[in-house]
Amino acid sequence: MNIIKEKFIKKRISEETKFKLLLLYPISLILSAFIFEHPTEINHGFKNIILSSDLLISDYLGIGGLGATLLNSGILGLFSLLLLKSNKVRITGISIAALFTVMGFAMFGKNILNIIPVIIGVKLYSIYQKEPLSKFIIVALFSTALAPVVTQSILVFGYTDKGIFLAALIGILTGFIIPPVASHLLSSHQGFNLYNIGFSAGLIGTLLMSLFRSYGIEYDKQLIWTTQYSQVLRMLLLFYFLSMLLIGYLLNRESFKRLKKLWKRSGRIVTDFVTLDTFAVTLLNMGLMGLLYMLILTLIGSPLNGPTVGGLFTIVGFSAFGKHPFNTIPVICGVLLGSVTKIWGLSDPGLILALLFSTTLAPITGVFGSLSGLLAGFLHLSVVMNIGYLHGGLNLYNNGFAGGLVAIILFPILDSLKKE
Amino acid sequence: MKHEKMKIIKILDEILSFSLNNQADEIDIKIKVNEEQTIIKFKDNSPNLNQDKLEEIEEMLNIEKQPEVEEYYWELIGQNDYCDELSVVGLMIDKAIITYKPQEGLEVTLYRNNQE
Repeated sequence: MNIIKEKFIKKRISEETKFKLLLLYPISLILSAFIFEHPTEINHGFKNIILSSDLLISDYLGIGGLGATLLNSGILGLFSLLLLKSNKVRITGISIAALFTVMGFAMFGKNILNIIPVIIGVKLYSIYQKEPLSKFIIVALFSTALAPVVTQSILVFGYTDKGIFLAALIGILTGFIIPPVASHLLSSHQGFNLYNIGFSAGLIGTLLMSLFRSYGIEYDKQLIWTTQYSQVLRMLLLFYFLSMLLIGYLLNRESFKRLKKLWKRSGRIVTDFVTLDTFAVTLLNMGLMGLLYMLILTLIGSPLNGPTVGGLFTIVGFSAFGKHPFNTIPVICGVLLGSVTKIWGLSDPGLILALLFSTTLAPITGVFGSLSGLLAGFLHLSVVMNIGYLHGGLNLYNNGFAGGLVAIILFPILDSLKKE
Repeated sequence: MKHEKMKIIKILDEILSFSLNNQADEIDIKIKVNEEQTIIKFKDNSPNLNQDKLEEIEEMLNIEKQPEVEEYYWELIGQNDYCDELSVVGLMIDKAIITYKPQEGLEVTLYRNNQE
């Protein structure tokens, strides 16, 4: 076939190089932990993180301090990358999204103790299916959304051998059932909710919480939300996002040219920017999105803390898999519109998280236009602020759960109104 | 491999959807399943496919096979009449050969190996 080559020359980066470059991010978190705090403080804080309840919203900065939180995030990032590498999974858009989502949520809910049983559950599922774990590794990383199930179960059953065994068993069972549920639920919202496993985890969390409540087990609401670490986190994140821009540019000096094409993509699942537009261009989009959303948080007066940095990391990760400025801005405008007309103000932690994570609905803008995106964001805010009760905070991806419901309702309506 | 038949059906759904969206009104499909691989030969009479579109088809169908992504996303393809998911087809197959003659139409041959 006679193909005229595009002006932008795609430079394919080797898997080894991508792996080494991504390794910079968890390692820099681990190193910075020891720059900011003494190992004794970190050790103490780390224990607190492991032993704490992890229900939404548990800012690890308030539980374990800065050093322990950064260390926890770095360790989980390193663990995720090594898991991808040892299972020979390629560094694509979805694997980058999974990596940064795990690192982000390791600042408010995930730790090495509570994610392991869930991942073992997914591993057992792969054995049952007689398939390699590599086929389920992405699901395994995202399924740690239900990690608080493990911690909460330990708190209910007690820190005894029996209690830990039962909690691990519940975590393993949870991991075992997520892959088929997640795969099936994709069709229900047609790929318009990027945090699909958040939706699946929300439903499973609702089922578990219903069972717990029917035996008289109830969890108290939790809100740990720090405000004193903004300055230091801002510096750290600036380094993070600017380094992405620099690496993206150095890998291919023509990368900026290609961004226009990336920004025209709808973002609907599966829009893998690494596969479609190369790793270098994807890094540019990730860095720009990180800077943009950090600026937005500053403009609305939000602190940088575990949950908000977690939100930023998740946005940056999914900027390799569907999100860009043009499909996310209308959605967050819908949330901001809601902040003016609804009962929640811009200082409400739930609203700030809804603002960041509502970008899960970016594909609605990408396919149906900005007004639809605005409507999606507006509806999302109300749903997400109302839905947490169902799973009692067991599902860390509460916005993914809400986004799934909004997408399921909106998609058929928008589809029927769309002109041929 | 689990759901193998359904995956082949989904690939066909997507290719058919793509072809009909490109105003084809005559489509021939031939499928050969053997022990090593499944071969899908597909020919339509889609008119006036421009250079950009052809480049896109070739690019999407020649994406490296990604079993780890396929397992999670295969159910999504072929369900939507205005979003192309050719890239997902691309990551489910091992090889694609594409030829286009403006007077005759598009011919695509897809190879999906049974062993990874």
